[in-house]
Amino acid sequence: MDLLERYLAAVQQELPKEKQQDVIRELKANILDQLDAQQAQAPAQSDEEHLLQVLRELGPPKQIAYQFHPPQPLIRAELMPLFRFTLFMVLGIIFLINLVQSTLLWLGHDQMGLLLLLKHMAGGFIRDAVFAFTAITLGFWAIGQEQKTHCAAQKKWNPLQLPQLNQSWQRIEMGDIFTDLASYLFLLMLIWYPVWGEAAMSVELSMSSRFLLQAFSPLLLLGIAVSLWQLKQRYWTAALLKCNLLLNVLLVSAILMLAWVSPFFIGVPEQLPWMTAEQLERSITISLLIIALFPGWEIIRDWRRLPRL
Amino acid sequence: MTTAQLDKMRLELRRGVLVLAVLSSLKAPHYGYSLRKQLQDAGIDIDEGTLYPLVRRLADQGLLDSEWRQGEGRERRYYQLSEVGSSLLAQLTQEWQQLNKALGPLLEH
Repeated sequence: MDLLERYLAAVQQELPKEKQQDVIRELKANILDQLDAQQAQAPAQSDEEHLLQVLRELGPPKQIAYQFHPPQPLIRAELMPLFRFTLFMVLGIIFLINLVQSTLLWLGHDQMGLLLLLKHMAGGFIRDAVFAFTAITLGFWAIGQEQKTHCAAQKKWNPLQLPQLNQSWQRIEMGDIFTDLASYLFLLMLIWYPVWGEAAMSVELSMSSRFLLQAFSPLLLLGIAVSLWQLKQRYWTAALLKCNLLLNVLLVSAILMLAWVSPFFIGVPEQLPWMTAEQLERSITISLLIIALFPGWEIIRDWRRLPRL
Repeated sequence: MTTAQLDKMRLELRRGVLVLAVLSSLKAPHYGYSLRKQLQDAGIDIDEGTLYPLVRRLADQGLLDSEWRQGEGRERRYYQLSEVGSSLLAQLTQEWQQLNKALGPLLEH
């Protein structure tokens, strides 16, 4: 019977404390009944053989404990798509922020090699990603717990509130919303980096570029608000389209203004490992012009869509 | 179709029916092994690893009453339908009969 006690102890180990005593007491009684029946059917076999057969039929301790107490997932199934998008968005932002942090550090230290740059970037990313993953998971767990108590309200939804969409493009993909949201959040964090980031930086934004960027913050907040509006109402209406159009016009103007600012950075060494300071400034201008093409394209798209709504 | 797919679908098909079979068998009091024996005799084979936890879950939901009794020199936990369980069983039986009636002609095609 030592084997039976070992089995019961292994099952007990997998159960929550409040269920252990009761489940094990009952499981033991059931196994003993099963053994009696086995012995009556095949008296020639030894007790050990009977017990082995019964335990094999019951299954491994973990499996039987799982059947008695099925684990509850941390994230509810219906929240999983939103959880995944949020996680990817935040991890993306963290990666970009770390890329910028490390690049600024690299620009200011002409002795810093590529390996050191990668090490700095990877270290920072892993540290921030672990924190973000924990925070997001706990956040979604709390939302799931909250929703459990409001199940009745969800049953009262009115099918007549479903939107009547005449154009296939009116549906907004979740991926598009999160891409926009990630971009606005990233830019906002980047602009205010000198306030929340590591203070000791040898390379900094110039006075005029910093002033312009900080003046654009309300625009980015408007962008975040529009994205959240899209998350709540996942289809284009005339009002939402107009709002997006206005936002993109303002964004293009802001990016173009920024592209003409010179110098963009101060404190950059004349000769960097891979380019000169002048080449760096020129590449920033070109990058900004390319970035302006994205909201520019959305302006043309929304302008053409608006009359069809 | 692979054996694994067939097993999975059989499991899904049996899951709901087993609840009905267990509730129905527990109109009279039974302990774990005697319940399994009764189901087996009726032609429903269910392994212990599934049956015992299922009975406990039904009891946790208030569908079964349970008590420990001494018998044959051993203690056993006996289960029996509670009032809530009886009412649910009546509704489920009606549902099952309707489904069975509707499904019969479909399967004959």
